[in-house]
Amino acid sequence: MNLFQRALKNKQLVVGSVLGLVVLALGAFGPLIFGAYDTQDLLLGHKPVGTPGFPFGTDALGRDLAARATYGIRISLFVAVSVTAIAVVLGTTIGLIAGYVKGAVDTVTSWIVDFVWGFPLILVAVLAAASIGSGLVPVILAVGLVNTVAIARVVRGEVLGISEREFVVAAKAGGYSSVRIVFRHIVPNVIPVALVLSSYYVAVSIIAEASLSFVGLGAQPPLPSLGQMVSDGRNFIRLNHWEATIPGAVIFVMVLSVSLIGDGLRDLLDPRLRTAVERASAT
Amino acid sequence: MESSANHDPVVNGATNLVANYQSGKISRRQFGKGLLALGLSTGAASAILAACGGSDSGTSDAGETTDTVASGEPKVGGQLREGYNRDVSKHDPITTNWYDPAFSCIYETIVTDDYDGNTVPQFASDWSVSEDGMTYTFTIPEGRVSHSGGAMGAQQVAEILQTIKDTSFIGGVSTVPMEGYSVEGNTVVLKMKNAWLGALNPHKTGYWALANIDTWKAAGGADPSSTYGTESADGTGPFTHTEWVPGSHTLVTRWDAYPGSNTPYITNKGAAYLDSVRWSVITEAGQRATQLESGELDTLIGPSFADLERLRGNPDLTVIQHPEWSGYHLTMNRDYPEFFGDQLTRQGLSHALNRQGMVDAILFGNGDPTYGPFPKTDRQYEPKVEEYNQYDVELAKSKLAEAGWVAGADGVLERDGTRFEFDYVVEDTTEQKQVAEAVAQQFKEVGVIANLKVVDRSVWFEQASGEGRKAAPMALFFWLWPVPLDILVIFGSSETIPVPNFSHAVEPTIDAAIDEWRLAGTEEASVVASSKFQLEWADKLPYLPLMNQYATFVHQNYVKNWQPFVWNLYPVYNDVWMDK
Amino acid sequence: MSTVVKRVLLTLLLLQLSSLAVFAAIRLSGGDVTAARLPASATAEDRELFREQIGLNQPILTQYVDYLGKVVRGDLGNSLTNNAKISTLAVEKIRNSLILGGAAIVLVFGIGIPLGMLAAFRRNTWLDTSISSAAVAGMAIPNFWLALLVVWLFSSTLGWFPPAGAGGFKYLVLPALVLAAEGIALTVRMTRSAMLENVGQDFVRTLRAAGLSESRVYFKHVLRNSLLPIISLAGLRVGQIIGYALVVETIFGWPGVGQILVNGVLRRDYPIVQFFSLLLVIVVTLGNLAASVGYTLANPRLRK
Repeated sequence: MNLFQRALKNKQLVVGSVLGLVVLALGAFGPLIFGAYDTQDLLLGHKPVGTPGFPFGTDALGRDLAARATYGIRISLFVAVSVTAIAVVLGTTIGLIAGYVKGAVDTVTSWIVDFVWGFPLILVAVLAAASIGSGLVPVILAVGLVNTVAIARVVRGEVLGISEREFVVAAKAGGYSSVRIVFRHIVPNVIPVALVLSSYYVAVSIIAEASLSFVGLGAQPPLPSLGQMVSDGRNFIRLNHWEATIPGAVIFVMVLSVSLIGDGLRDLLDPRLRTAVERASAT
Repeated sequence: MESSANHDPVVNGATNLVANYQSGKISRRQFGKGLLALGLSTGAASAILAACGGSDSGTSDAGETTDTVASGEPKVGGQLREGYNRDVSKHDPITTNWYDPAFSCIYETIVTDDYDGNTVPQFASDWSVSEDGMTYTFTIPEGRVSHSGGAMGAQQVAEILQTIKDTSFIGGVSTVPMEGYSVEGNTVVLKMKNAWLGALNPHKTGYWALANIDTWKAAGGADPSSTYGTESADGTGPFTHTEWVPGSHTLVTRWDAYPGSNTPYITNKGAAYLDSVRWSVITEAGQRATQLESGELDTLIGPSFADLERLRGNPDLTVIQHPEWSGYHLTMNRDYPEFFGDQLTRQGLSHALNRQGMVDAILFGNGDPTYGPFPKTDRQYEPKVEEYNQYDVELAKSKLAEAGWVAGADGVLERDGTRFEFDYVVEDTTEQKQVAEAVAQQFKEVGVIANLKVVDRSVWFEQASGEGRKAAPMALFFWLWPVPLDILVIFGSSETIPVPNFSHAVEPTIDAAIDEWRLAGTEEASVVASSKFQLEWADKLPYLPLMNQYATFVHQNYVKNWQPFVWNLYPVYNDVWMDK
Repeated sequence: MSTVVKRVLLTLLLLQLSSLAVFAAIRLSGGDVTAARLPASATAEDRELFREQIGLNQPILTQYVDYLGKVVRGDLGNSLTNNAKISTLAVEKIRNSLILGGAAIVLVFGIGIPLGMLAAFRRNTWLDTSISSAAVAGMAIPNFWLALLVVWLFSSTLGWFPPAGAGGFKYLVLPALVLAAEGIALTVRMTRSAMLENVGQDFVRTLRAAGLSESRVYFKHVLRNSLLPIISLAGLRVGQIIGYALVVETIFGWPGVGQILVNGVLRRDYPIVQFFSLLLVIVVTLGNLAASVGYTLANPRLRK
């Protein structure tokens, strides 16, 4: 069986991909279909799902929740993908260096990792927002920083393990340069880990962005961030629960799809990765 | 009340201030502060005059009928569990910046307002004012003590009042015309530098609550490390400070030695009926009503407007609503003259706003649009302001065009190379954010881009209160004042730039109207001046007025006599009992 | 011995750096501290006086040294918002957070481990599928949204539990459940996979061959070998729960460390932020330390 056939047999991967495609389609076409996310109609007020012209209903200002939620997907994915790109590239590099060079470099890196690790994300985000102004940038930086550190930690551990395997020891004994050893022997073995970690950290970043915008950090109105929509909707949960349940459900489906894809990928690429990733996700 | 109805101390007050200023006895700053103090009170003073003259029929309640004034024999006992929409503040009148409902349990004030807004005794058994308005005399009952057992005679009362006057941040503005307090026999005498009809108004608030001065000093006084108001509080009210946990709750318990109130309308002339009162801090707006409905609470201050319709339909609950001295306004920083320097532009922006729509959508109709500075329910409200600032998008567009703004390629207005796009700061609360978003979108429809910056309160204040262009071009602010004082003059006077005249607006006609109002000697003259002030404000637009909201309270029907009213922030807890 | 001492000293140094970082960051983070304490009518002079009283006009390093001096003398300072003594507040808030966090930990392991075992024992049946799917869903659900859903269902609709506040047991149920949700899901998955991993090992085959019942093999021998690594990760769970508690405590109005810290940051209540964030950093650091030690001990393969 080739990789594609195996992938088709992997239920998690299939379900996750289908959900993911639905979300992507909503994010891509929703705003085109439903129109501007900030058009308001004060006379309309809170309207439930199924209101003619507003399949997901409207919020307090009479804005189309379908337009807002689908645009929110774009913001969410934009943040998650940029955060993960930063974190995977930086985190893997740092982890590689610390794990391979060891010694003082490793010690200092570990200090920094422990230092950042001690701070709750929300505190990092508040401080970032407070020092460089509100918006998406401080959120990307804060989540990126925390995730970089987390990834560096896992990769370092992997590299330490790989370095002691026979083929690396043999290569070292054979007098090959460090660069060659790292790129020929270590990197190829770290890539599957990094790949699986990426999918996991996309999920983490979606939740982190949503949580931060729920507490008022992140995208500024009228940009419709999903977390902020849940936050705004919570005051009307008894009046028109859709305002909070729909954006929340969108976040849920996004995260679910990414997690399933991650699980599937892991099984597909290397079942042995399970432990490493579960350790990472435990943190 | 006869004594205070037949003279015009505001004239004296302002005249004296002017004389002192001209003769160099006081600085320009003190002069400004003095005018402020007068202006602060004038509306309310006139209101009291009106009430004494019997011209009005009491408060203009929003029309809820209640059965809260109980018949039958009060039952003693039980804990009143009250939901509170703010975090608790320290129980120290002098160093707090807000007074909680617990203040009206722990403390008494020297005088207070009755249901019609007339001044009546509270801790004092009687009070009077001299013909020239320069001397107030309060009779202090014999033998009173505070919760700790410390004496609360004329000596102690004079001393705490003097300390409040000298120390309190809140007192700062209103104390300027006050000379000081002294003791004469069993009376406390307040001497004025200039007569001022509003002298008693601050005395009715929690900021002037009568704490035991010895306890206050012993706990550390005004020092930042003082434990007064957090670990202890010592007043003469019917309940004692028992627990105080910020973020969670406050508990007061009945003081059995309470001798009863001197206030005529408080019917309970002995110790409180309730064993205790416990306030739960519920900052999540959506959760307050649920707690009341599930029976976790007996009473609730400030439910979410989204829940009101359901609460009104609940046969076990009673909703009490009355106008609130509060309002939403937009500042337009005049140090950005390229945007807000000309009146036509400001008017154009104003006509773009559908105020009634915002009241309906955001406050669920529990408020009124405002077209001038005053809430609609103010006694001196000038209805002619409604001829200004009405929602009319076409008019908005034509005014902006007349002001020289031309739509650019992307539809955004431009003038002399300046794009009509600016930062707009708003505090991160549900309602304020909604108001700000609604406003920004309506501006967008006429080609003006207001970029929202939603920030927490400390950042909001920093960005709204700066000098010159340090302050944001536009800010949404919501004001709420605990006593019926027309504080708006302090937002509009050229004397108070940059705080609290956040717009940095210098409008000679508004200044002149304020001065005329302050100098008005009769109710008629005061109304005329106040009308001018409001119309000038509505026309010149130092701020964009938006709307005001109603103060809202809900209680279980078994709670009796829990009756907040327009003149007081909170109910009178000594009269409250539960028929459970 | 010397490595232990070194490790402790290093941790202390890190904490010191963390405290300095928070101290400086919150002060440099803008906002006007007088907005929380003084009324809007306070003048610029009043505000300057207040800043002077609390020493804000000093250089940050001087302020930091003063602060450390006071802390060493046992004076944690007062809240700038309402003047409450931080030492008094700390007792109350830490107690509440321990109750909530403790309840969450109990739920994480009390629900997570049995469900994970059940899924492993009945692997590839409908029971395993439903438990495992629920666990996947549980990890994907944002906890602030879950909080809204449980309040809506159990509080607003069914009226079983109060929606917010602190008091007796019934106030604890919903926030503890929400706080624990992701941890439960994760524990289920880890327990299941750890047990399945052990089932394939030689000692299990030996035990089966010796005629032990399947359930006995699972619930005694396999479990013992699987649990240690899972429980040893409790330290990491502590850090995670603290992170979530910041949001969950705020939503449920639970008067704990998370709530006061979030409010403190928003109000720029410097002494509150300094103390409570350092407290969290200490707990998280210790938790991470415990987890790495525990995991190494529990996992022979890592013990080289």
